[in-house]
Amino acid sequence: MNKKAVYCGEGSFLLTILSVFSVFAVIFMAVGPVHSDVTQTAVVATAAADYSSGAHSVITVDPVGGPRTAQNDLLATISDISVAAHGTYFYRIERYYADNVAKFDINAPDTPIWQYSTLDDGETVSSNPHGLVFESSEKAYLFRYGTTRAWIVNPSTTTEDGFKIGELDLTSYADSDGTPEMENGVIADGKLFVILVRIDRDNSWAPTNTAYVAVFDTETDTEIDTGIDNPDGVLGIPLDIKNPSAIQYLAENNTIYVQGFGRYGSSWSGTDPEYTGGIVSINPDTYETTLVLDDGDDTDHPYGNIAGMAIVSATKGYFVSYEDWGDSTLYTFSPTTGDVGSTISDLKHKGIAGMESGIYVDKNGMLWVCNQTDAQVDILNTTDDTIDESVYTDLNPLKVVFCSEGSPDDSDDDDDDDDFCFIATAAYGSYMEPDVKILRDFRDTYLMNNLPGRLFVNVYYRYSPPIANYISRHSTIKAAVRIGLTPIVGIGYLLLHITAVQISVLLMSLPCLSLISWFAFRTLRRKKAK
Amino acid sequence: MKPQLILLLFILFFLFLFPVSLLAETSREAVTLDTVIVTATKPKDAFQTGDVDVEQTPAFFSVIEKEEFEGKMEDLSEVLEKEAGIQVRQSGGLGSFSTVSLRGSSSDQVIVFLDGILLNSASGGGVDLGNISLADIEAIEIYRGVTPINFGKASIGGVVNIKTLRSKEGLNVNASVGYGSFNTRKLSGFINHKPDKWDYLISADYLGSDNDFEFLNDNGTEWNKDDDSWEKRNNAQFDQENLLTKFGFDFTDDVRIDFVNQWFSKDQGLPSWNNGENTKTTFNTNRNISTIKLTVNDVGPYHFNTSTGIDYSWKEEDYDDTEGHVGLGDQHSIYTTTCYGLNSFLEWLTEWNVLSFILDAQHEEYDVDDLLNSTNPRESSRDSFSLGLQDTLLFFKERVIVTPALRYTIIEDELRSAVSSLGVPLEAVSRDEDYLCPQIGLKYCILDWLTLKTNLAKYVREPSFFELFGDRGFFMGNEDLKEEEGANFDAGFEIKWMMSEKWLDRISFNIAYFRSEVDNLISVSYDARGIGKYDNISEARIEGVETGINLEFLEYFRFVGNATWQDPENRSEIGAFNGKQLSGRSEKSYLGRIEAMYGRFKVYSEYVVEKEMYYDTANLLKAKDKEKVNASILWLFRSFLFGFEAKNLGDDHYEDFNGYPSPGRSYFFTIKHSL
Repeated sequence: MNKKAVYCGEGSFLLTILSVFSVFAVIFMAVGPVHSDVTQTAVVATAAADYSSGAHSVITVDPVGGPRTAQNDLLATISDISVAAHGTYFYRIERYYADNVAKFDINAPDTPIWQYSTLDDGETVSSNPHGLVFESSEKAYLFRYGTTRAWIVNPSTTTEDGFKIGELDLTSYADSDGTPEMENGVIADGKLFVILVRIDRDNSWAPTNTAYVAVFDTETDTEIDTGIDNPDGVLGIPLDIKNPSAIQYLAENNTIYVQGFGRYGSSWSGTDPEYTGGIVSINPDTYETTLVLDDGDDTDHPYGNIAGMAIVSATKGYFVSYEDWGDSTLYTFSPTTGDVGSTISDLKHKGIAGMESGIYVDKNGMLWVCNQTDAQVDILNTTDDTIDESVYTDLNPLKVVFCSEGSPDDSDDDDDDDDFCFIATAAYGSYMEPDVKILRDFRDTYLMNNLPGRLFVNVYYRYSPPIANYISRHSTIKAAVRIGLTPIVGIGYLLLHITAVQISVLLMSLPCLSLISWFAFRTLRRKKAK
Repeated sequence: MKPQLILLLFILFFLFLFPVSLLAETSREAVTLDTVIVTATKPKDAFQTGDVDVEQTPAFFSVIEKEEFEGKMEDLSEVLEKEAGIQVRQSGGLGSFSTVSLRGSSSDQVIVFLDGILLNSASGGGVDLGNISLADIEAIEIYRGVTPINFGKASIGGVVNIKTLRSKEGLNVNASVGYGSFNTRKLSGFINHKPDKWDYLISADYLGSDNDFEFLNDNGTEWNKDDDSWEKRNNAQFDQENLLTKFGFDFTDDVRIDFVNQWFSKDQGLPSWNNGENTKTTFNTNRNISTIKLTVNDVGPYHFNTSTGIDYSWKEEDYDDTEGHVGLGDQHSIYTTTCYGLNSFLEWLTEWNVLSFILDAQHEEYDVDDLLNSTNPRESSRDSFSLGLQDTLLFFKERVIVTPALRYTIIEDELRSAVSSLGVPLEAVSRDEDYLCPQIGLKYCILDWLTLKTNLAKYVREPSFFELFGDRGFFMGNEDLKEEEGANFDAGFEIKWMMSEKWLDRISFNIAYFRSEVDNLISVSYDARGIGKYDNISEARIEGVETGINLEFLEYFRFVGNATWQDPENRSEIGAFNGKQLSGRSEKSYLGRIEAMYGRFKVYSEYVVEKEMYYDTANLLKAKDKEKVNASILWLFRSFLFGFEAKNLGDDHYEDFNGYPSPGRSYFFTIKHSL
């Protein structure tokens, strides 16, 4: 055989193979990162500074760095309102003596789907609904602050008769004024944890009674006996803090956090502030409580009253320090050790709202802070504690929740922990790690929109938390899990960042490439034979 | 400040003119002064020393005589709302809480007098017109923008002066009874006797209503029509009694003493926002005003006319919401206001001018007794002392009248020390302020039928106790509050023409442009905890035009119409409020009324419109435009006056306050018998 011919034949083959790889390279290089189909939109409850009216705003969560787009002053109403969100829907709650909930689709934020009363027939006193916590799209818990019974509701109903589907009886927690003041709640590991403030409304709203967290099984809606001794003989968890208002569950370390503000001072009654608040953690399995952050005492209270809280990770959280009327400052702190970090420079001596009812980060890891001094939402980058963007809301922002589009069953409200990948978060150390985000996006895009995927996810969420807890305490196992997850992260990244068209091209190009290869190989063999 | 200083100097210049006239008078006194004084004396029965001489005042004013509302089932708010530049807001039906705004002002900025006795309380909130009985009112004077010095106190919006019945010669007796929709009932009696030097007057009346009108309750769910239902208004009933007694004695033609006592009592239900059936909240008011007034005319060598009065008033308001149906939480409080006043008025009439001087001193105590807390007293007191000086300068046989005036007021507020319900000692808080308020007016009778008027004035509204010292822990006090300052200007003309045409007997027309710049407007804002605090964070600019027309034509007919266009602009530091229309004020209001009188019959129909009002400061909640048609027929048969009226014939339901509907169509029938 002629060497030149062989080399020519081999060269042609090599040239062909190189061409094939070039095609692949072009395909891959032409592939730009494709954003996940899941998009988030913030819904902000707002109120006029003089409380003469209220409304809501919707603001895009993207792009990071801004400019985000805001629609303000939607569907004006009274000022005593709050919001909750689940999937693509948000719910506007009108509270004292308005007693109703209205449901909206994020794609039509100024058109209510329905609006239902939160009063039972014959109820004459305002139910004053304060919070709405979602177990699923067909089941949620409505906390009616002015009554002794929380409602179990079906948010997917299309008739008012189908709205209320049950009750939780909290009468045993009522104090001398007749109501337990149910404020807020969170769901963790199949259990509902409800804050009961128990202030004495007949005595200038004094926090003279012990506050509790009642625990309910979300399957049976029966109260769980936590077995903790308490002077009131109730089944719930007594709290060492007064006036609890925010509650949040962190799946990363399987811990519930509750914040209380103690008691604000009043020039009218001549009372000084009471530093009986702070932040406690609760183990959702053992119900053990730990005082994580103490607001101090009468002589030493460096942060004033602790008026709000946001837990981002096991090592990063924020709290609101209240000094005087309209004068609050945002601090960082560690939810694990309770060590206080620094202030957020742009959020000092401002009127800060929203964090008294629990708040959470958006999909980009940004914390949305309600700045009432400047009538804007300050979007805080929790990585470096700088303000990513400030968005003007016209009226004063009261509370922020997030709707998610692209995954109808996904929930992004402040009481749902579905957004977490327990094992991955434990292995990588943070919910915000890029690899954890890839797995999360993969779950949202490929698992949650089909029945087998959802079944898998449900089983995963039911059984993985204790595994994740174990992993988080062993660094060697963490590393091993990270290695094991790497190929999955890689496949997830590829699948998330190649479009359907590109997949089709790839699939179509495979037989073409095979044909080219076969043809090239046959040509080479013929030449060799000659 | 500069324009105000210039204005002050201008006024002082005019005031210094009177020594010139004094010298002129002195030189003529020996020859013609008595004649001049006799010429200047005003009719005794209709006019008393201290009253405003409406013929001379350059202020834009309205006078509503008793005949305008006699034989009708109305309250004071319904009578006032038909005047130009006036807006009234009612929280429900007859007798419900209602407030008045003059030329876009807030209700706090309108001063209301009852026979010269101030009804505004230092606790704040304006005057509830629903607590003033119409039965013993002789006339209502409304001064917009500029207040004559006859009133010791003035404010940015103006003054409503309610004059009660006055004794007339002879014996006058009448009684009336009325009944109408929603079980509304009225009963009144009046006797006045003036046989000689002494006279007495007794007027007693009762007015009550169930106010159980039907309205569409949306159950708080504005977008859910399925749960809407027509319901009767619950717990809106009221009963009120009123007794006015007057005794007067004329020592001489120039010296008279008057004793007046007015007692008022009202028991009222307050409906809840959701119209709950079991709502039992009540607000009961008891008030007594006693006055002794000595009028001495033609005093001394300069023939001064004087009137001096001492008054004592006591008001108790019992707010009972022990089941927390209306307010925030359970509450049962008694608010007691006690007031002692001294008022002295002096005027000196000459051929060239009328110099008026007023001294007004008042001590007011306000006590809140929270019955649900063992002890939580928080007494407040206000001492106010006002001096006023006005010179009405008459030129060219009173064709040109210039009226510069000055008020100087000192106010001392104190929140007394106390012990709170929690046993905590509460320190006293005090505050002293003084204000100088100049004003000047011009009235020019260009022709017999054409008069031009213009006024410029500066007024203040001092903060109320509520704004200064807070309330119930829901509002923080702010002792650093400054008074609201307003500069008012208006200019316009009046036409009054008697026609000799058969088809047109008389025409009167007036139009005025007004403008008010208010600084340091006190507004409330709330922090993240939901605690309110008042602060001087706003300004306002209000300007507008008000017009009125009165035509008497074809011998039997009369047309009355007025219209007001105003732009009450908020210039707040808060971005969401800046540039918006002040809440609770309509941008446009119109009235048209056609009356026909034939023999002893009088029929009228009126059309009332109010448009473009917002409930809230951010102008997101727009009120439904109001259009009402009312009609009435009166028949005088011998000594009986029969009246039948139909209100709101269109049966539309409006809400002056968001969430508080007013009645639809209603009918009333009254009979008055005069001896």
